Amino acid sequence: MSEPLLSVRDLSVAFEGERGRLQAVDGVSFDLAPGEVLALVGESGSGKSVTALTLMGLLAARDARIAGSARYGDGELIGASEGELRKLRGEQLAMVFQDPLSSLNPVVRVADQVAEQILAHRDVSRQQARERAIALLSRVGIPEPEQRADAYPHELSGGMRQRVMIAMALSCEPRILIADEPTTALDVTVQAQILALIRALRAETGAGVLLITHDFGVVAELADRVAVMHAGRIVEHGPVEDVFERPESAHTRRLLAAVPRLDGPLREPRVGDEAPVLALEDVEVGFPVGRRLLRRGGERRRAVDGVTLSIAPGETVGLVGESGSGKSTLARAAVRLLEPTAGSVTFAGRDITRARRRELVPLRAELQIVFQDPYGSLNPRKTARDIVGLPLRLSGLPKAEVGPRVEELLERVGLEPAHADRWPHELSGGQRQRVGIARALALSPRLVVLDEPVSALDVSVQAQILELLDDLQRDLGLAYLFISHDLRVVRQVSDRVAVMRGGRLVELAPAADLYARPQHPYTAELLAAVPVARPVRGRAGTRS
Amino acid sequence: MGQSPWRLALRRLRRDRVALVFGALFVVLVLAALAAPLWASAVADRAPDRTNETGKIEVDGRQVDVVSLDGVPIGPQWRGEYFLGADANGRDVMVRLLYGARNSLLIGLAAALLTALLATMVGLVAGYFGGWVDAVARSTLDVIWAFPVILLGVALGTALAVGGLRIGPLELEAGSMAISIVVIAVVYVPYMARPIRGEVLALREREFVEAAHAQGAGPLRTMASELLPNLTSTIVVFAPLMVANAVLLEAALSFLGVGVVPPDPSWGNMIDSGVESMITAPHLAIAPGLMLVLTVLALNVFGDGVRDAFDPRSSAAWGTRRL
Amino acid sequence: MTGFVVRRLAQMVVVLFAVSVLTFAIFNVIPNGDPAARMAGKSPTESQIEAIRAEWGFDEPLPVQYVRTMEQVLGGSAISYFTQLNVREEILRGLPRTLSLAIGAAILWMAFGVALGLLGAMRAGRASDRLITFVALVGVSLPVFWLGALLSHYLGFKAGWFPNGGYVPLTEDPLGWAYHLVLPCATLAVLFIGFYSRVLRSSVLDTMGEDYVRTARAKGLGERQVLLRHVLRNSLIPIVTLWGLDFGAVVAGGAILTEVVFDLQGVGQYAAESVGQLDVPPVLAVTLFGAFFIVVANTIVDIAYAALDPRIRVT
Repeated sequence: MSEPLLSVRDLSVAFEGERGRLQAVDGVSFDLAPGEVLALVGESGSGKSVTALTLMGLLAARDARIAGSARYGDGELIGASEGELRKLRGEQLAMVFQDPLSSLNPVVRVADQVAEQILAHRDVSRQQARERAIALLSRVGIPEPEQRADAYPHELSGGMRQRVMIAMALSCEPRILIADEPTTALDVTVQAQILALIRALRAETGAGVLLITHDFGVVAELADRVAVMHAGRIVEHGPVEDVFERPESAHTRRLLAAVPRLDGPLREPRVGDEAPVLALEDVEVGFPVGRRLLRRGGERRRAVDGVTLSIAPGETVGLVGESGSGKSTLARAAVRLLEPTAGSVTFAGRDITRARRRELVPLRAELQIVFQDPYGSLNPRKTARDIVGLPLRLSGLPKAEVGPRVEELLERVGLEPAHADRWPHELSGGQRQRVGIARALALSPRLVVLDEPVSALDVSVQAQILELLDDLQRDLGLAYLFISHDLRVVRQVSDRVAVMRGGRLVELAPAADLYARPQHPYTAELLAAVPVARPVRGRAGTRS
Repeated sequence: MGQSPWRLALRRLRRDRVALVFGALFVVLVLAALAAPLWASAVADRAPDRTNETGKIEVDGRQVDVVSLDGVPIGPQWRGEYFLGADANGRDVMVRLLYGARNSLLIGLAAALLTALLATMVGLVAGYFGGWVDAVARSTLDVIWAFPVILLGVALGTALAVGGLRIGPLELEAGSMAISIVVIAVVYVPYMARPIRGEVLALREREFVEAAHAQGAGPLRTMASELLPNLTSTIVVFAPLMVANAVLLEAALSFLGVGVVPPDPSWGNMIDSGVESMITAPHLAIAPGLMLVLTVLALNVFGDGVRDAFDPRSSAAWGTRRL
Repeated sequence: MTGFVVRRLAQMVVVLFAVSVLTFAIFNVIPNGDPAARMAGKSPTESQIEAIRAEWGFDEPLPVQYVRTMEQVLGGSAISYFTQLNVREEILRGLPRTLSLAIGAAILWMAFGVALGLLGAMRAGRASDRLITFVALVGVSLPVFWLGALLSHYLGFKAGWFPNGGYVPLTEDPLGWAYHLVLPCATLAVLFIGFYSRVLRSSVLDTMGEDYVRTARAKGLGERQVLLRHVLRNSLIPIVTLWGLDFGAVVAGGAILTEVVFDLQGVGQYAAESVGQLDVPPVLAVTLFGAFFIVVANTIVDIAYAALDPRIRVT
């Protein structure tokens, strides 16, 4: 290995908070060589992002205690003055953040945001900086850069925005690029493009890349070496093939085992030939375009456009699609939180397409939904007991019986009785999702719509929740409509899989067939974009 | 037992010593107002509207006119009677100040309570139902909003002061304090209802509201048990500031002669009459003014602490001032 | 954009109509509000009242009276019940006084409010921030009419540094005009300085926590540039909108107390005096005029908001 660009030794960061001291980073050491990609991988709270921000000198918290050393060239980053750091930032060390929408200034045109950085570090005129900015936009693959240059961030798509962020980071040809979850906020096809871009740029510029991610798929696609972080420490460190093939630490093995894979085992289909519990027939959901006043019956944007789908008792139908494909709208129409504008929804043999709220109340017990955001779906001002108890109270269960039933439900989803009296902010993400599941189970449903139930969770927690859902299905004979953007998860849990795009179902097939022989080109495209499960040698430039 | 969001906020508030001191100051002022009859009978021995234009009192062993021959009242004294001096009619300023505090604080607190009640109802219903309900509520608020606050207060105050108000069983007599309370409460409703409506709109997008609907909860239950608990911190943050605003507006209306009707004292009408004799007896304007400032300051500092503790990211409550 | 403006204008007309009906109703539906009885002076005879009633048309149905009064108000021919002076001329006489006061105060409060708020945010949590916060809170707690009375008494009457109230037209004596406006403008501005500094402080602190500010730092920009270009540019948006609304409100009667205390004889003072006499035409005219200002300010603010924040584009 050549002389390292960056040499981190015994880096520690602690925060003094309301609830005492929190050791976020605990004695981390690593080197980064020119032209290599080092991935810091770990679950939320493992300290990987704090490490990156500390190296950039961007840790905002005033009560952070930083110790250790990070040598860059002849200088020391830890404890350097703000003035010294400012000269390095953007010039020698550049950073790409997770959410390109919030990371770009909403009221400044994108070319100006790029040019601003060039002006800060190079002795050029405004005009030259702008020309260089446009050249950079073109280099990161933004079509028609002259026109896009004057766009505001919200006018660009998520992938374009992340390209702008990358153009910005590259504008002064940095020696080190720190990419903090650069593709997490993006759809899978866009993610594949951005990963290919970073790979190409790395080869072109010879910069060292420090990649921060929670996704082993991204690691396998991009990294040369991996450092696995857990609770502020690096628990495993080595070349990417070694870590994947021969993980040494128990934590790494657990993480790798939890990662859903496209080549993992399929489940045994559980489809009987009973009448479907839920049948959607040509369902269409439209939203009026523009202002509503005086435009009734006018133009409508169809979020769901003629979807036909049925689910048998005990079956799991997976529904995949990228953001904006209409899958969440379809979920809401299926449980009649929304009224379809056309088509029909039949539940347990009853047409509920136009049923009124009162008519639906008795059916609510059997037709339930679990939401994506385990924080947003729980009322922050209620305890777990009240949340799970709500459907029971609404069903008219005597007060005395609600308490014991709530505890029984919480136990069923793997929570302790002590959790009953906690507020959502006192529960972890996985625990919150368990509360959401307990609420859905309260009145013994026949069908549960799961709207991205594990997307907001860490991979190890995700595996536990998937296992819980599987157990519940076996024991209670539930049918699931499982909605996700993650093709790997859907493959693992579904009997049949439906692919949605632009409000339409483009393909519906048994899981084994769909993944092995996709019929629709879009399905094939999605599958090709899924990150590989294992690192592949000589992969640079294999995708575009 | 877990830590409720309420308890976390209260713990933060308990650590804010400045806010607590000023909160305590407000409590002291309220207690002083409640003790007004006690001071009047036990210390000053003068009723609030008892005049004394020709009497004399003993100061430093000499007999001094309470109101001199050219109409100048005595100033503050180190004694129970006429502690803050007399006014042009020989009435005890301290006693009137304390009785005025009863009026000013009662009107301020009651008006703020009424504002909060109305604004929460309007904001909740408008934000939850949306559509035409929202449109009606919003245009009503817009109309009230479009009225200049003081002008509306003065107009309503004047009109009602002459004739009183009779709407069905509700009857407000001319000259009653209830008129000031209603006027002030109505004037401030849009300032509080708008942010609450906005918050309800945001909360409606949260999945827990959809979750309640998916359990079969109807509009009433959703509003009362899902949305309302999430509005409490906003309401709590607004409360002290609304009281401060109401006390100030009451003083302004009384200053303009459409609030509390003399000889019934309020800080506003005391300042009004005090300003006229600023040259000869400045204490008549300064004393009630200081009381007013102290009260409003106590509420504002305490309110700022409450905001920091309950809802640090909200600055909406600061948009309410349009005096 | 045209659609937006048309819609806003239509909305404006509806709101103004509602305001005028409401104002008219306040003075006419309320019992004992009979203007004829009051205009007739003390102990009038029934026939005198009848005569006045017939002369002014108070015996006609209310909707007719409303339409006639509105015609007069909008046509500029409305006349006060009591002073018999033309309402439009009175308002035009008061307008430059009110506008001078409002503009002067608005400039003062924006400048000082932003300066104090920015200073507070940059020193957040330190002693100087706490001091600024306290001063701002004292500012918002000072009743305008009391502060004005004290300032004009001590700085005007006693110290003789400033004139003791009154107004000099700009065209006659620019220096005297400015000199007479110093105290009123400062008095009116104090309250707004207090709460603008609070709003800006929290707005700046919120913005400083935004991801794009971290990006700006990551780009290696200087602290000054980060603050001006990225923080202030965004946190001024709410302040500028507030400024428009408050300016409208001040012109529309928010300055009543200041005008009364300094005897500026502006529109607000005219309104306050007319209201005291239940003098319907001037009150109706001034209220409409005020509401018009507020609604116009609201509309301008909405448009300005869209210009300042490209995310909100009017359609």
